[in-house]
Order: sequence, then C-alpha cells, then structure tokens
Amino acid sequence: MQPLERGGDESRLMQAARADPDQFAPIFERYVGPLYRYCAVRLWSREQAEDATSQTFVKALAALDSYRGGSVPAWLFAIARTTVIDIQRRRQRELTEYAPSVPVEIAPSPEAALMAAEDARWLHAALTTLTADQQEVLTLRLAGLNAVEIAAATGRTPGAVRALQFRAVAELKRRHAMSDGGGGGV
Amino acid sequence: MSSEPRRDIERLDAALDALSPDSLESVDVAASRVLRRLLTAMALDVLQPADTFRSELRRDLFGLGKDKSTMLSGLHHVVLFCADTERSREWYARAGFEYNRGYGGMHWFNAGPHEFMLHPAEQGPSGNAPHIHVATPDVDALFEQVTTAGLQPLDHQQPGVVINGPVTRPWGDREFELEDPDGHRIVVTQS
Repeated sequence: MQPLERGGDESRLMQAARADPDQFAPIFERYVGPLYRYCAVRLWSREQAEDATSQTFVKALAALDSYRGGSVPAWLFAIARTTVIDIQRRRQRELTEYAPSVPVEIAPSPEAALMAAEDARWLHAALTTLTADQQEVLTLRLAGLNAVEIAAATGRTPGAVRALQFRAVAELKRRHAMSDGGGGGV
Repeated sequence: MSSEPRRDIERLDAALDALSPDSLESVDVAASRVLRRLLTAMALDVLQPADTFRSELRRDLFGLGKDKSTMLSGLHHVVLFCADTERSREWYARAGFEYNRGYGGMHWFNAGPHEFMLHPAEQGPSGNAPHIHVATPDVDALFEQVTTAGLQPLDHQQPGVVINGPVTRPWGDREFELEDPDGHRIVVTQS
C-alpha cells in the first residue's frame, strides 16, 4: 500500500468547497479508500464500514466552515474516528453478546471469504492482541496517516503516537515469534 | 517511552512513513515480517470499498441537484403561434383537445396533464416556431447550470439583451429561454 498523496492544493480545495461543495470531490476521491479501510478494520463489517464512511463525508461537508487549515487527512480521520466510536457504542448497546471473533462479515462472497480468510483472520487476530490505543494508532498508520497527522486526529502528541506504534509492533513481533515457535500467537 | 531506544522508535516511524516494502529493510527482520503481513492484509480486496458503494456515495454527496434529469421535472406547456387563433381554437376542439380557458385572443387546451396554448402569431427572433415550456423546481439553479455549460439564455421579450438570470413575467411565471441549434425555442419555467 502506498502512502496517501498529500496534494498541495488540498487547502485551496477546502476553501473553494465552502462556496461550492463540488470542489470537495477530489478530496473525496483521494480519501474514500483509506477512510473505508480504516472504518472496515475498526468495525469488521462491510455494512457498518460503508455507513461510517458515508457519515464521515456527510459530516465533513456539513462542517467545511470548521476547517481551520492544517492537514486535511488529519481533519477527515478525526471525523471518521468519532464516527466509528459512536457506531461501536451503539453496537454495544444493541448487541449485548457481540463477539467479533471472526471477521467473516467483511467478505463480499463465500469465495472471497475463503480466499481472504487467512489474511483477514490474521489481521483481525493481530489487532485484537493490542491495546485499544495501539490498535487505533496502528490502524490509522496502515490507512496512510503519518505520526503527526495521527496526533492531530487523535489529540495525542507525535511522540506519544510514535511510542504507541513502536509498542504495537513490538507486541506483534512477540506474538509472531510465539506463533513461529508453536506458542499459538498471531 | 524512555525505556525504548529512541533510535529504534524513529527508525520504525520512518519505515511506516514510506509504507512500502523497500522501507521495511531499515527495520529489524521480525518487525519487517510483521509489517509486510499487515500491509498484505490491508490490501485485501475485502477491505476495499465496493465500486457500487463508492459511486453511490459520490452521487449522493455531489450529484444531487446537478443531474439534468432531476433538474427538469417534465413538460410544462407548448405554445403554438397561430395566424388566426379563433380558427385554430375550432380546429383543436374538433381534434379532441379539451378547452380550458381563453382571453385576449389566446386559448388554452388540455392534453392530459399538459397544456397547449394558442397564441396570436408574432414575428419575433424565432418566428412562429412553437415554444416548448419545460418545468423545473429550481429555475435559478438550472439557469446557472446552463450558463456554466456555455449556453446563452434568452428572453423573446428582450431581443438582443443578455439576461443575467430568469425573468419574471407579469403573470408570475419565472423563466428563461434557450434556442437549440435548429432554432427551436425551449422555455424553462419554474413550476
């Protein structure tokens, strides 16, 4: 996966979009994929990932006046993050026995589920061995944000983000070594 | 974290900044293996937005109010310029059109949900060709859309004048006119 493009024209597009929301379209095209991937890995449900992605863009368009410059992806992912948290809270209220043990719901078809099962299960298992903060930082990283942008999106310092991602990878390394050694890790 | 080597933290951060397999050469083997597998998993098709979702969301966010099919809600009425509107009135009645109303030499007939208007002939810029009135829920938005598309709205009552927005008729209609490449006059009316 390649990092997100950081077009130098993003701030100009954001300014123009205040008068004409269609100017936001290039930003939508650039970030719809990364935002969807972030929501999918946080929610492990295609339906809810689509819902979260849609809500994120609707909220963003409604809040264009609140954008005060700075990183556009950090601004967008901050909206996505709160949207995902709201959906997770709602889901916990609605499903008292929710147990996201196997991410099969994300698969579009039985064939795709079979093909993707190993990698998808591994990713799900790997992330769920991490703390909530580590999961969030690593997921945002894998969606394409850098440490400074993750810091802006989550209200942390860049140093705290770098430490969290370091510890997340260290934990995955440890689990990976256990797995190689027959210890049953990820 | 003071217990973790700052250099290793920075090295991992730099590798993640690049997020490409080449960048993982700079971290230790175990970290590289984990990150490669994470990147592979994140690229799974099942973690990509479906094309239908993407296109529907794009349409929902940016397509509303811009689609010509939604901007034009249907035919409003047709104006026929007649040399003798009384003679034409008799003809249209015989042809089965339902008479609706008339005054000042003008007559209206029903044709299903639409109207045919018989208007005394006049020699305007478009001669006596029929005027087709189409309805729109937002005549101002459609005026902007067609001017953005490079068309020049007209008003037969102000020949030669460039209008900057829809005109309001004495009887309340708000509209503008377009002339197609063959000279057909299309009138867009708020309705």
